[in-house]
Amino acid sequence: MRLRSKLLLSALLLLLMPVTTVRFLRSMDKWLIERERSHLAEKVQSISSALSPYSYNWHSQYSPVQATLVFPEPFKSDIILDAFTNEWQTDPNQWVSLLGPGSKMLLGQQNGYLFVYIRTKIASLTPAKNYQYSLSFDNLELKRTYVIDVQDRGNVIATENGNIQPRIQGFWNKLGQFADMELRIPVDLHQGIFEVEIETDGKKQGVNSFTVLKTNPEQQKLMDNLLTNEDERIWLLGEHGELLAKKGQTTDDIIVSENPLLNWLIGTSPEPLKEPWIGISQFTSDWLDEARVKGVSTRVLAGSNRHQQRTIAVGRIGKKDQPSAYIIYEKITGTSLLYSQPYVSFLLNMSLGLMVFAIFIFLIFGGRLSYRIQHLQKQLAQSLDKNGRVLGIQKASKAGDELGQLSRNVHLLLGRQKNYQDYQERLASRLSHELRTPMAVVRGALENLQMNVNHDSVSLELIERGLVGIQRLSSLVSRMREAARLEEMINQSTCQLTDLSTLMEQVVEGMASIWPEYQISFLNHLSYQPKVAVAPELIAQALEKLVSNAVDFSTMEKSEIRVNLKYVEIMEGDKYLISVSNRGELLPENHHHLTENMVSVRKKASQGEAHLGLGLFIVGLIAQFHDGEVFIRNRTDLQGVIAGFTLSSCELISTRNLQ
Amino acid sequence: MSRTIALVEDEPHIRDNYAKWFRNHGYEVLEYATKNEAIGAFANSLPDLVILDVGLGDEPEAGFELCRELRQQSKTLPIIFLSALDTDLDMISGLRLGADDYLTKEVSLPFLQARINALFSRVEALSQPENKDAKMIRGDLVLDKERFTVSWFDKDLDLTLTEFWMLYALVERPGHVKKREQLLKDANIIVEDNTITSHIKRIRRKFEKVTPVFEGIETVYGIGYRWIIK
Repeated sequence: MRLRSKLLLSALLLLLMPVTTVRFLRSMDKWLIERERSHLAEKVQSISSALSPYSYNWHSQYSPVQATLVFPEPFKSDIILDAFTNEWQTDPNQWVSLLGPGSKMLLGQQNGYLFVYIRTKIASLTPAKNYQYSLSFDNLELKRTYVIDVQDRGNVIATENGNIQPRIQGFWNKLGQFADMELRIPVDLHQGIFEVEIETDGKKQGVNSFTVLKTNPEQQKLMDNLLTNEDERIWLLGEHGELLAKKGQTTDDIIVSENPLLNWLIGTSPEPLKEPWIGISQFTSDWLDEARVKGVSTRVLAGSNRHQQRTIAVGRIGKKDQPSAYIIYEKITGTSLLYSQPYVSFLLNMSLGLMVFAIFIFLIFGGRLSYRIQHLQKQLAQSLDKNGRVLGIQKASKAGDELGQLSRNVHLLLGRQKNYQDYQERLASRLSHELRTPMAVVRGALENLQMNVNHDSVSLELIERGLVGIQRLSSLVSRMREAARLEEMINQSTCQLTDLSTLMEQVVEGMASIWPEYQISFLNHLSYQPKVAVAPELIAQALEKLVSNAVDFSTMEKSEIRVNLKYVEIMEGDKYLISVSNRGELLPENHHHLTENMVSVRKKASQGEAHLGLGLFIVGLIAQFHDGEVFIRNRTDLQGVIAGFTLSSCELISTRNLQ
Repeated sequence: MSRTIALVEDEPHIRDNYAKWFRNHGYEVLEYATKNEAIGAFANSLPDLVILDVGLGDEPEAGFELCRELRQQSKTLPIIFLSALDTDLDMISGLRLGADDYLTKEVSLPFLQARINALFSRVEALSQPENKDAKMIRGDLVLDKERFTVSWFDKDLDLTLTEFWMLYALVERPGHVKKREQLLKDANIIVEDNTITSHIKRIRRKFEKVTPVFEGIETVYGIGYRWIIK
């Protein structure tokens, strides 16, 4: 795994920071809910105790046998009788179905009035022209019926037994596919069971019966006196759980975090909570039964999503098992509340921001580190060839950190290695230079001696032997300097587009004339004349060395020496391959260092000439200049040796600087 | 009257070897070990030929300085550098200062003798009336074998003796490839094999001063060179 990936992986551990924060917040929230629960229980208990004295005359309106219980919702704002539902809560659950096609009703209360909103669907094929609404109030002793006939949009008139009842006011309107009527009825007019019947064009749709749960003024007053917060509601229930009054509006006030990141992290929905008890008129639940027995019960109920909860405390008003009423204290709690707090959002934002920033910094840092290490590695690779020879020393980093130090150390090491290498390479040159003066002395002395005509034959022979020795020594010294000279020559060489096969042909022709006793031939394995950018002088020199070596180590006279030109596909890329094979002495097993300077492992001396093992080293330098490699191995038929080098166009390495 | 050769060499044994050899061959030899010694002597009279070592005692470039001063004194005095230094830079430096030849100390005395004789012949020829038979003409190229002068498009080329002999060997048989060894042998010159390229480069450059595009000397890789203009 690369360093950058490792750092990225390590940086991901920072994700634990917000996760830990969320976990902490949840634990905190749980604790807060428990506190809230006990707090609500205490609160509801005190309210129950306070309301108990007033509840003795709260008679139940509950009569489940006769009609459906309906609780008229208190309005938040004043009602305008206009047959529009603008002021009404229009949650679908609040509509009460009526007999008749698509008919339904809403009930509301405000300031001692009962508000009725009746909607009837108009048949599309045969729309009714005449609408008659019969509203009856039956308190078992007296049943009063009010009839409203309408045909057109406008205020409605209610009649009772043919007499106008002016206290019932309303408005009727047809809008689209609905005929809507909005009525206001004084609270004293509606007593007992409320019946509604709709008749369209003389066709009766059926009677609908309801028990309207009215909040009596005393209950309303007591409720009004109770203090509630924005996220709290108080429900007053009758002894059968029927809704008598309620205070507080929490559904619209529920705050949900607007932080999308927070919502995503904790899984909250950005949608506001839905009212879970909307349209409910009677509560029947175990927590009501528990309150009946214990006086108080508390519950944490699920909200509309998994992170929002409602804590309720139910208190019994009245005696045990004979309660006259119940009070429910409802509070929106749960994680959402905590999370909705700006500082929590800020904390989370900060930790997430810091985490992202830290990951970003880690990535940049990791990338930079990775780049610097790769750069250093590349520098090192470029500075050394495959044999560990220092080609050039790149500039050291100036950074003050460990990598900078490493770069400087590598630079220092390479410098030392280069110095040592230069020393080794100059050694031969220096040595040869220093040898020249004593050689000149000896040669001069011998030549002077030789000139003297008074020598006997023995002396002349000895002088001649000395001169031959000096000549050989001179030859050795020259060869020692050759590699150093060649490096200078390589530095000055320029590449030019050359016909490689023609060049080789010429060189081989020249070699053949120098060594006529050998059959030196050139074989071009290519079907074309390759035009390659090379340094022709260097190629000729390399070839001369290879052929010279092949000649030196040929064991048979008139032996065949074959020079080949091929094109090969190797891992480093396609290259030309020049090889020279001879028939002669084989390489020993330990021939791997043959391409290094001053290494010669074969026994045969070249016809009295000294063999310093410089040839392949020089060929190697020339191959290196052409981005190639030198090689030498025994022929597969074990009849001789094949040596050569690969090369590619100089264009690829035109900027290369061999130092 | 025998010719005088001044030998400026700080190594006494080498100096003595050379001196003995030249004296045996009828030359008068003046020996100097330092630059100042030589300058003092040359201030009075100049020899017929000077052999200079580059480094003298503690002065690594004393020979070059001496050559510069001698050339100021005489434009025609034959000067040969005989040094252990054999880099291209050393050779070019010596020849640029006006030396007629640059030889390394590996040269044998008979060959050194041959060079000296050639130089004396050149000097002698220059003082004699022009001998038309000694001229070799190849188109716009004229070589005077006695005076060792070369003209190209009627302009004299300032070639050293080594360069002259190399060019002469090439031009003698146009189109024929002269191997490196042949160049050395035919021209009767002592130049190390690996410096032939430098000599050829310098010759080309001197031709290019007259005709910027010069293709008279062709390289035959691995073998040698040939003159291709008839």
